[in-house]
Amino acid sequence: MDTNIIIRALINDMIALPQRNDMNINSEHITMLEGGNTARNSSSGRRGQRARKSVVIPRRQHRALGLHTLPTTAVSYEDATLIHRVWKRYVREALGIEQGDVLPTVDEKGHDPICQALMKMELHGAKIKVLESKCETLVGLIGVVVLETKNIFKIVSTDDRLRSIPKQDSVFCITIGNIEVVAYGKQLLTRSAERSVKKIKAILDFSSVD
Amino acid sequence: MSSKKQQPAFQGKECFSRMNFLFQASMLMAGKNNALSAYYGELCRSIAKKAVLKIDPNIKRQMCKRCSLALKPGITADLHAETRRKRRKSLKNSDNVDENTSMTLTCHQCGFRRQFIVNPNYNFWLDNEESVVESITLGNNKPESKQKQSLISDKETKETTTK
Ligand SMILES: [Zn+2]
Repeated sequence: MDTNIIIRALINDMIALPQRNDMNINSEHITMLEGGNTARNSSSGRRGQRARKSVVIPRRQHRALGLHTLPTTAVSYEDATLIHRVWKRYVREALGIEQGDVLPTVDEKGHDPICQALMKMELHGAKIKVLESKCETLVGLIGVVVLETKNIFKIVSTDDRLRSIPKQDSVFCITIGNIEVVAYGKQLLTRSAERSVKKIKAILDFSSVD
Repeated sequence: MSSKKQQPAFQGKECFSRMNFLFQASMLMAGKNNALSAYYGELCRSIAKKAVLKIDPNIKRQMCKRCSLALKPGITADLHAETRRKRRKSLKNSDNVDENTSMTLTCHQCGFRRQFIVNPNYNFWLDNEESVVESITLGNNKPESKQKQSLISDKETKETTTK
């Protein structure tokens, strides 16, 4: 408040002596550009208005909400099986097959379109098995994919734990009912959102189990 | 668009079924695992963005605009009905839903509010019959394929009706 007094003294000095008594200075009318702490400045804030939330989440808040990562025990196997059940229906629709159908082999007629469809398929919810991997401990793991990034599958197994499996240097087996599709991780190295748009040369190998 | 006789052209079919699946998964996870639900919702939207496909407004409104969480009122979102005060005084005793009423949907995860104005006189363009140019019925007799139909209602290209 002492800045107010200084300003008042300054104005007083600038006014000719006889008029001084007629002057009354309203402190509300004093505006300061910087460092001011007058009554006016403090009252007219933007406190009344609530800032409108932006549609985009800032990265920092994104992290605070926990959207960046999934904790190791976040997803239970039960939830994963629910997704897997929906996924099975989706796959039958996407590939146009019924339960118990057998996919055509390489030399048969409908091989190419189904390969294309398989490559563009959504893999969230798929039940996969690691057939081969550079890392020995990953071989033989079975689980439902809940998260996919460019280089990693995150799968949930029966023990409710989330495991990351690098796609590179691994061979996966995707089970669709009685059909088993062998997919090489090298070919799956795309972000899952980009997969349906990207053109891929499919190298797949599938066999059906009776 | 060249229409082949046996298979009607359905652009972006696999993308639509993918988005359909992701939306279902997102709805399934809402309330159980919100982070995962938001992830699937985000993916669904990003596929639509990448493949330049439109999501039906009814579906779009069920996802948070900000964090893509599937919004289930009561589980992952709050739904309020509000009436603007000023006009309310004159219609003190009426409980009618008129153009002053609005519904607010608040996302539990990020707190984003979305307001929908309830106006019985307003018609959506997509509800209008003129907007439907072409409807494709999938050959399967399964009811699931019907849901996808609601995702597509484009208002462009030639008028072709295929059965
Ligand atoms: Zn939200």
